[in-house]
Amino acid sequence: MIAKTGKIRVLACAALLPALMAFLSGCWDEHELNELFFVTGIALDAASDPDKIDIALEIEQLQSDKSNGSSSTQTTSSQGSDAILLKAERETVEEGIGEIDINSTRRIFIHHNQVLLVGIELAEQGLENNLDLFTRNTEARADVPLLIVDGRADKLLSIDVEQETIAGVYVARVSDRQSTISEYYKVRILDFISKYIDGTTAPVIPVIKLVNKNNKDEIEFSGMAVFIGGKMIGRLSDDETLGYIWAMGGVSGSVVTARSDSMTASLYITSLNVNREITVRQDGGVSVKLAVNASLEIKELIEFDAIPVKELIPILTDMVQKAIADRIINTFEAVREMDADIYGYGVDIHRKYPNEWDSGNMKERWPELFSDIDFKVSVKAAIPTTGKAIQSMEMEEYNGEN
Amino acid sequence: MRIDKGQISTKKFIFSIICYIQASAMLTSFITAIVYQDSWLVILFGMIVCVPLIWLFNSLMVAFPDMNLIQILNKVYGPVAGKVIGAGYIWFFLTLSSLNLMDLGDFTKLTFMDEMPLLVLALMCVIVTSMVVRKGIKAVAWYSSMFVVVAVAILVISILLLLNQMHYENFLPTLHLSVLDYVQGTHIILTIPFGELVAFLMITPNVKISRENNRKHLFTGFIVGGLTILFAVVRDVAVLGNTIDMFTLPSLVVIRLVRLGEALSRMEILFAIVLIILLFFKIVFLQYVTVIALAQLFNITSFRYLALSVGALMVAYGMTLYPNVVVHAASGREIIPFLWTLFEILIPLLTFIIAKARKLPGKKEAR
Amino acid sequence: MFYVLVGFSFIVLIDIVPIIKRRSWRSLAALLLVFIPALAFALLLVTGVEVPSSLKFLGDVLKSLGLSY
Repeated sequence: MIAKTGKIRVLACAALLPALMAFLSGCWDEHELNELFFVTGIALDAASDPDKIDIALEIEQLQSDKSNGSSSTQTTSSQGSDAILLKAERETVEEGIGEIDINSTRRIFIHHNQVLLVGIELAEQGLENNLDLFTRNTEARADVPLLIVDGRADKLLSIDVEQETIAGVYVARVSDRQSTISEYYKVRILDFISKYIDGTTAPVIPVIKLVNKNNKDEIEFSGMAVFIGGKMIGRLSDDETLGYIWAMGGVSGSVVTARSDSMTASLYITSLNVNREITVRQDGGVSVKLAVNASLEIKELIEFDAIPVKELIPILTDMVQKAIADRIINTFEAVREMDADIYGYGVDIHRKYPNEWDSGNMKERWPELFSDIDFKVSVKAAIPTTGKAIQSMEMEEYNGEN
Repeated sequence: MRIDKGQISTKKFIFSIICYIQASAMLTSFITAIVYQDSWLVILFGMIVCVPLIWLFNSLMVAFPDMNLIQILNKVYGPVAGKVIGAGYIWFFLTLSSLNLMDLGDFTKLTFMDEMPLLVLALMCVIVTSMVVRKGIKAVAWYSSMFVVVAVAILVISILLLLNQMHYENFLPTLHLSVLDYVQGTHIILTIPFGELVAFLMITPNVKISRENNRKHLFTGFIVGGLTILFAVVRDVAVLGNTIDMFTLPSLVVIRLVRLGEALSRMEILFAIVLIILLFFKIVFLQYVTVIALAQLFNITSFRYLALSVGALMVAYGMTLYPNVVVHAASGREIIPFLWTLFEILIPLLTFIIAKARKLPGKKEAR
Repeated sequence: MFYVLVGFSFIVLIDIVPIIKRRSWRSLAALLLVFIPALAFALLLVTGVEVPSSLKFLGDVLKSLGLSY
């Protein structure tokens, strides 16, 4: 027989357990899957009203929803795409998401957002006021890639991409793949903010655009946008972007095309690392020396028929060293004209010479110091292999005739 | 007179100390806002400066092996002054437990239960902690070893998975801030995670250790706990760099960045679970010492009847302490180090000096 | 208000009644020392009365003494 106190204890536990289970399993925070709209892409554009912004949320349509034909107001959806686009025009991003949320059949859930796209017009007006939500909101993630769209960002999210079923996922996955070549190809919101608060570094963000190929809209990556003070002030072309990536080092997988006279060689960079030496000169200026070490594979040779096999590697090495150095220097000159320190050399000076940085007011004078940098690049390329073929067919024919 | 006759082993004692210190991992944001990338240095300074403090606590435990802190105060200061200072310590332990309870609620709301009312979260926690406290020290320290193992495992896994996102340059420049910043940071670390170990003086009679081994166990727990926080901060600085002071919970943001393919991503829930269980342990322990201190002050053995009421007071009092997280953080950086210094350093030091001067506890009571 | 009173009634049933039955007056005094402020704080909070914070008060005292960063 259970003693009286034992009985009370059992009853108390029986009363307590359901309460604990109900509350601790998230009575208020229960989120059923079929009550959520999973956001896979967010697009911000400048609105016609200068005080407002256009916010578009790309929502992944679940298979069951497609067959039921459920949708909400203000949607656009292209045939074949598994996503719908919900839009709002408000003063802040949070207001826009809130408006979309209360006009939707389901709760907007941005935890699975894959990408943040910003239209070029809004980028030129300034980004810094539109990113606070992504660092503050508990659902938003600061590791989401950030990209600038050459045109309207919402238009890009609404197209039907062949490689993936959702445009936002497509852009995010391409960005991820590019980051395997170099981490600097992918710029997360956190990376942008980190460079922005440096004060001297000019953040760069990849640019994408819609191109019409065979009467179909496709997404293409097109260089990088350069920012100063949160506003876009210029662009790097595809070649200049490569120069930037190479100057930062840690590259694995990009292609360098070297030309000399009529000869053209395409080589694949298996690894490219950079040793930066940044020093303060006697006159208070800054000197930057990049020592580039690259290991490459020959992928294609054109018009190399007159070159003996023995001299192939030394000639190719010279060509590729010059090609890499030229591209890095061209990019530097392009950003020097913009007074945009995209490389973070100012931060390096601050870390290495903190006393000179403070006492010499170098932070305030940095644009002037950056434009006066003594920039030198030395490239050491190694081509350990010629690929499956030792000489090309032109070289075979030439050597056979001679 | 021993209030709680339960005893815990040395292993449980050490793990309890480690668990207690690890639970303060979320409070490192107090120092990151002051010393930024030098946060790890300040934790190291704090650990070094804390060594004499731990020695002081250990000396009190060795000198009065069968007495808890309230009994020591009564013995050293006399029945009246001892009770007054003891009442002060009850307020101190109650405030600590309320603050940690509110931290638990705020953290849970920040991570995955943002719509749940803070009051409900606090009540649910306190109901469970009160049940544990009623069972005594054995129940309080029961799962400490498991909690520590889980916490250390998550820390190691997170460091390994974030190696590719760590940049050693984020630690530069070093020792470049003003001396006052380092003093402030060290003072915060000294008083907020490490100095709070004074609460362990309340369980001296319940630990099965000899005088000779006492120092080893206390220092082992302190060093392992301190190193855990140190490695967590090193990881955060290496990954976040100059953005570390932007966030209320840098560790949460860092764990969110873990990404090894699609499968090994979105792991912040692991960090959240670990921190919740660590905070839960700290709240249980602090509630327990509050109850024991109160029972000791009134000289009663039936301490378990106080548990629920103390829990209710923790919730109600905790809701009045700070209106929001910003005020809490500001107070934690500017005021609390001075206030806690009184209870964690000055009074124990004075107690030790007076005890030595009066040659207490005397030959009869010494082991 | 109702839930507060219900909650505290549980505490009375679980803790206070057994203490009174055992006639342990010192335990009752200790318990009431905690119970009454808890009930007071809870009722004040529930009725929307702003309760001054002890830490804020002590903080102001320390600041006036110059003991703060």
